[in-house]
Amino acid sequence: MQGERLVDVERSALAVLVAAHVADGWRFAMLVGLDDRGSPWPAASGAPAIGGPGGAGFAVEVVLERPAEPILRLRAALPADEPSYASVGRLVPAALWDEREVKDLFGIVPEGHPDPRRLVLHETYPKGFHPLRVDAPAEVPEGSTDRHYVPFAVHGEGVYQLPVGPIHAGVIEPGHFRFSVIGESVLFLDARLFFTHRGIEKLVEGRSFERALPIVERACGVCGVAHALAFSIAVERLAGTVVPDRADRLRAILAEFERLYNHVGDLGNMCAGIGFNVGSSQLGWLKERLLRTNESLTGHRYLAGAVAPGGLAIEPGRDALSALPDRLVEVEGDLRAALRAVAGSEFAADRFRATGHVPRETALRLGAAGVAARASGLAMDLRRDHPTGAYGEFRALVCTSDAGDAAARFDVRAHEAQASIDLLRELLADLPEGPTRVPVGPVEPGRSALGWAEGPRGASWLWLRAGDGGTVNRLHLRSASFANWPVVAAAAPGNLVPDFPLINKSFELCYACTDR
Amino acid sequence: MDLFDRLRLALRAGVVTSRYPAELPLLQAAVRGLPEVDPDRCQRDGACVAACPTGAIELSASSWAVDAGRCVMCGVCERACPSEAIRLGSHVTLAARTPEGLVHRTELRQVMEP
Repeated sequence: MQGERLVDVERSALAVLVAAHVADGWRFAMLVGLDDRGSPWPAASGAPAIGGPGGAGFAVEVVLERPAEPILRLRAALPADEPSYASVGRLVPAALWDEREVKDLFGIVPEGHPDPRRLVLHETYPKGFHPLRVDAPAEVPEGSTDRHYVPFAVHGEGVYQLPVGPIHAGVIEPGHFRFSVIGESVLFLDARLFFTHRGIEKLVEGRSFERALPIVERACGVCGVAHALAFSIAVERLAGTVVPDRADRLRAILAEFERLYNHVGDLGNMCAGIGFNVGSSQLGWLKERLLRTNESLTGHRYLAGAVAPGGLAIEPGRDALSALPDRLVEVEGDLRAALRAVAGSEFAADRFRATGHVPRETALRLGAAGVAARASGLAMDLRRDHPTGAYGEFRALVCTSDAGDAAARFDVRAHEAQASIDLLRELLADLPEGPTRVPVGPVEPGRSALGWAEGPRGASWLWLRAGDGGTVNRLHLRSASFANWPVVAAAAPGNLVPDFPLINKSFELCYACTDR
Repeated sequence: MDLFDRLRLALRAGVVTSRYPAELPLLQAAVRGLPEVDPDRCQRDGACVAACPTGAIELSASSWAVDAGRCVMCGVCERACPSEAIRLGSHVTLAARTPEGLVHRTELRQVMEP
């Protein structure tokens, strides 16, 4: 398939191969687990059966990307009776969480992994229960559990542990943060997430693409366009669907509006993180107006339901579209006024600067994505590196900063918000006429493809394999937030505890699209 | 930027919150709220029930019901209905005091069996 290359490798060689590619400028995108025991697709059909003829075992697949090159999929078959392989994360830390997730959900063991703890399925789940295995029971079985959670922490004289969450003072999602502190200084942070794990990947198994989409799209509330785009692109790549020009253009418009309202809201949240109320209320009100614009375009404040395989399920009305240029002028003026208020505040600069510093090397090693990566000097953006749809013609400006602190993440967001406004103006000019949706053709069962989109927080990667009759056989969604949480934990040490709310907000990650 | 500039920003924005629930939220014309059924058009073929990704729709001999606790307003039912009897309406104030209160039921017209 054009744009991606699937290579079968030995399980003993996988980790070394991935490490060699990463050393050569490739970036780790995701690691996908597969259980192909009893798979119905014979190897001879050309469908990628895994684990030998008939599909006899498990597999892991590592997806790597490098700008302007076909995306590389390295697949290693694992025997059914001993599903293990040499840990990739031991050499490429960006894969550490992926491997823990695959271990929980499939029981596939990464040998030599430095962190043996559970990740997705907390200790309350029975031992030996791996829900994504083909023979997993529908309900969580009774069984012995290991209810004791062991946080990673620093021990020693004068070192205390400060537990925060999972219930927080504020309307935010659940996460447990275990700080090791001396006085006010953070020595180490262990973040425990996945309290909102809903089993989305299991939920969509066997569903038609149309019935799977609303669930994938709602993996989180604020990255829906990115997830829906990644899913739709994967389906279209499987079916060989060519999306009409008008739909491509409108999809990019929706994706940029998603970026814009998120960035505006996140800039406001960073102001809230330091108690700078002028900034948070001005930007909060601007975000609200953008949400109403979203509603005028798609009938949904968070743009859900519009993007679908083959184009758009809901086409923005002509009145709503023609109102956008004036709306953008207003948004641009108000955004600049609010940002001037923040820029003019020495107090804000004092809190933002040098707080939550992530060096370029750390961001690279941990596989940071999106704003978090670009604010640490990594010029990466899927809109430019692997353009889909209208982004081939309309080039996105990649905004970076070398500073790596909260101030850099604020500035990168501010520049990207302005760049989105500029790009929206280009996208809205001479909008092509024509249909906005074409039927998606049949998809050969057993074929798999990738989908991707650059969301407000970075790359949404989606791995999709079709089952019989246009259904989902296996779907894996790796959000930018999943990539960035280990970076948040790395950004905390060396800062004061009261700066953590700001550090957290400077990344502004989704819990739900991490937990899925 | 001094305090007066900040004050000017705040005064220019004014009061932007609404007096909910006395004033209902401002809705755009395109809003897609809870699905509504046209009892005259519904053929009771169950296409919506089969299509709904969250299992929010229930069809009985005399009524069609959607559970706002499950519905995500995705519009799959609207597109699945062969007789175009369903459309997403503008009903968006869905809070209820009981789970049963979330179920919105429409009585269907009694169809004579041939």
